[in-house]
Amino acid sequence: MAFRPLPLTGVANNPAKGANVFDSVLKSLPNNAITQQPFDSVGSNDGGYVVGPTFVIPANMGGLYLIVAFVTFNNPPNAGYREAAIRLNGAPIIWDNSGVGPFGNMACAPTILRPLVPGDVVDVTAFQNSGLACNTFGAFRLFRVAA
Amino acid sequence: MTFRYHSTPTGLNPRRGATVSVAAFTAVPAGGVVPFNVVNENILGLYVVGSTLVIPPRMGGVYIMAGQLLFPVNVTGGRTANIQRVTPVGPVTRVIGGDSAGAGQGGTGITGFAPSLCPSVIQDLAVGDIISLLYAQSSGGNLVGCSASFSMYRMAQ
Repeated sequence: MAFRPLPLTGVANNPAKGANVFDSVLKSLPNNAITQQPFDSVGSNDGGYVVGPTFVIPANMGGLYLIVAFVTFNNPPNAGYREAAIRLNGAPIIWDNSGVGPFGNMACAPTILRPLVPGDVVDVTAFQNSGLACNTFGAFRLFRVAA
Repeated sequence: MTFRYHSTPTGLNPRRGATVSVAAFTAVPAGGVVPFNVVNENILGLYVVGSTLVIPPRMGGVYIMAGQLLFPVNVTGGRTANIQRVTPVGPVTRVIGGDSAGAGQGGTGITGFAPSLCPSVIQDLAVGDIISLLYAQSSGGNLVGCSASFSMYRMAQ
């Protein structure tokens, strides 16, 4: 499948359209429950993508997207499984697993290059089973690299 | 130029990139190289050398690169994240993409949680090029509890 690259902007050759959201405060993630990461702040929204903690592809903005999520598990109380997933229309399309332990901060960074069409909804879920709730914070971005 | 999207038999994931992150990014000083120490994904076989990514033989081409830095600290000051490319021939060192916020970058400073910085760039990289993520912060002290990740995907040959 081939895509036509979009014009780049600025001295840094940044892709023309995209958005990013992030957590402005630590978010409590319950034990053993897949939970949508509740991003609460908008860093940029060039193209009208951001709707709450999710991205929705606007009309006429279909194309090839780079989607990058990043969830840090902040000092989980016990060893266990940590996972973050990028979802498309409610179903995971890619996971990133940090596995079992050790204690301390751990990061999951699922990334995918994916064609999206208008109306597609993209969000992030996190999971951990340390036995207790633990704090997370993260960021989520997408940008359109080709039409 | 055309970007070619390589899908798997299931059509779900091209998986032709690399992602690294930092498991513990604490006591962050005024500036330096982000010390990536976790390889989340490395489908292309990029050389992960310390905190850098190196383009291996036959893997030159157009790459899209995206970094993310979070500074979850309640300290005023500027924050910067830059993607750096070092080409061994020369050698030539260039900042090819960046993002910044707060004092020192033309803003008025940050109080409360700093934003996520997301430098990104598309570049035609050559074999041997060395990519790293640089940061700087002007809080006046070390920052505690930062996190970072960096991803790059090969879009075209």
